[in-house]
Amino acid sequence: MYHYNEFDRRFVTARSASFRDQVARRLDGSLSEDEFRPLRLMNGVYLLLHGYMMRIAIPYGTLSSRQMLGLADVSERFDKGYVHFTTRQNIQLHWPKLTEVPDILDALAEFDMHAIQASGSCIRSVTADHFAGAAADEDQDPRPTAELIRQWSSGHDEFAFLPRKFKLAVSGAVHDRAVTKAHDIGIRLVRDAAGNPGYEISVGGGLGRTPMIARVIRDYLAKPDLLPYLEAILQVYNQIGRRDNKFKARIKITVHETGIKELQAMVEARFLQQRARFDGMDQQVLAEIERSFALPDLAEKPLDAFQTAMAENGAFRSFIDTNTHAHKHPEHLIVSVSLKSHGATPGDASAAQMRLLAQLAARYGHDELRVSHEQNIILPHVHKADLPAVYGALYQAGLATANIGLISDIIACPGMDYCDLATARSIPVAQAIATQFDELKLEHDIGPLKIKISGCINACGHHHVGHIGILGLEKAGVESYQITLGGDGTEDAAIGQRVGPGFAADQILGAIETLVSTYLTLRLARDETFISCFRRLGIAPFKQALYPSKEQNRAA
Amino acid sequence: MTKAAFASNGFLVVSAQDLIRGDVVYLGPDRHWTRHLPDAQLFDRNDPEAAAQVERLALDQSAVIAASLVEVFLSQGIPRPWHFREVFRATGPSNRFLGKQADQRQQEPEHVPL
Ligand code: SF4
Repeated sequence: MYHYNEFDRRFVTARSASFRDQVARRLDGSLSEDEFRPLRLMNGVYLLLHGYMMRIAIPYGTLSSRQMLGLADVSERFDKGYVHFTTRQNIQLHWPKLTEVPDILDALAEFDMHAIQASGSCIRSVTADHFAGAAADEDQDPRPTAELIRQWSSGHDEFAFLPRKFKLAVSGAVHDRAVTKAHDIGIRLVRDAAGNPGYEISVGGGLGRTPMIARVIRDYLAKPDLLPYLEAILQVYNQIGRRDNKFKARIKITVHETGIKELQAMVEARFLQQRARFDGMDQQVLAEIERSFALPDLAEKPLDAFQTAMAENGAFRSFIDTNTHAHKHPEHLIVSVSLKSHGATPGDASAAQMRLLAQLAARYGHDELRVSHEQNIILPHVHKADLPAVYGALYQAGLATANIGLISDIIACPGMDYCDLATARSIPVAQAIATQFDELKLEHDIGPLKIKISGCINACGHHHVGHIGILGLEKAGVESYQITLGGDGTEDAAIGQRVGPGFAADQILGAIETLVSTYLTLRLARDETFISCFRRLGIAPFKQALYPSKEQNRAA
Repeated sequence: MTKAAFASNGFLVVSAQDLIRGDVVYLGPDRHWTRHLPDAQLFDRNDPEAAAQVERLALDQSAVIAASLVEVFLSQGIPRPWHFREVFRATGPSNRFLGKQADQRQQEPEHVPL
């Protein structure tokens, strides 16, 4: 993986030193809160419901064992001994003291981490496929491109004051695991007819108040043209993106209001100018970055122990079936470690769990870890021969829950339990659903089903692209939950359709049970997944199951 | 129902967040900040003093930030916010026993059920 060079290090330590100075000036009164707020936001520090929250960037979700160990230490030294992995592959500390944030930044810098681009109206920390560099269905590794974007966008002065935040995601596989179509810019590594690598660029995706699927603005862009093209998009957006209304300031609204054709013409014109200003230096940098992301040396080992465990240990087999994914190298697997044991808070990991994951990565996983936007941790390169040992260690630590992609593998934003913008809670809804379906012992029978929960219209929990999306709102002073169905965050991206009036907090679990049992009754066969069944039948039967009397009344 | 309770039995409390710790504080009767809602000064809901305090705090953010008014009603003599968001601020998250509910002295309002 990519390791910081001297320039990166100087940049990060200088940032931390200047923030230490800013905090001191805030405390001695030389900076007012209004002056200070944007400065703390630039360093990932928000004020939430119970205190400050610090968001630490994990560019494209990639961590080394050393970084994971470092984060575990930071969580114990400065916070409550756990972290929250977010839906943007980042980490949040929910209990830091303002006066200790500069020390946290210094500690992070020791292992090449920071909170830059974790908030504010800038280009945010770039995300990527969490199976990058490992997945069997991958044609090109998205990480070098993501790292190039990180370097280009870090401290890019021209784009430090955009109309709103700006998010990019990169994917290089057949299956889109990075939700690229829900990003301001989604980048897919593709090839032209002659097989030359390049990019498909989409623009204007986003969830939140006005959910939109990104539109393709360039179906093939030659590799060397990436940065000038991105600059062209950003320049056009910086110029015409709306600054008069915060809710209309994202580029998706620009795409919607200007029209993709006109925007495309503006971007292409700008691109020609920008391209002349790039001298090829970025491609030299990219070539170097690519070398640092070479596939690790994958040894061959005897597979007897793996085969025996598969034959004799049902729990192990279930774990392999559910939590692993095909690797480029047939003797290896990608292991997803679920941070959603039934009833746990999605995305939370204790310092002890983080240390174990770091140790497993160091010993069995070529020192690599990934954070998925689905709030799980990935060991991308594990030899099958090592899987019995890895599974055993995970099992001992309560980290072997075999539920990846199933109903209890729920994305949930922090919601009203922590977030000051929330209109309702997310976490307890996720906990209740996971616990209930575990008790029913139904989740493996139900099969792949993505539930995603947000605690407000901002949609950090990606509810619009959940097969079942749950949005927590406030209605007449109590929590109320609105359900959407048929959303999809993959290459078949779709925004879920609202099924009807919301459900009270004590009804939402029952509503989800009704939807699931309706699906189980309607599916043609066990291998017809919830989303396929929904696509075949549409929303009507689910609506009728949820609101029977209404539908009958209408029929009468 | 809680809104109705506020209308008939309502008070205002001045709240803010501590500049350094970021945690929720309430203005006490002696003009000191307390971390516990039961110790907060109750203002009559028509008393202009409560809003005046928030205005003052918007100008002086040297010790606390994000000042606001919280509507509470008395439940068995203990102030309880009518809005559930304020119950969270006064108590802590419902998924972890952290925040105010984890403090030694237990007088915080009961948490919101799911
Ligand atoms: S969706 Fe809303 S409640 Fe959830 S984290 Fe985002 S802003 Fe907060």
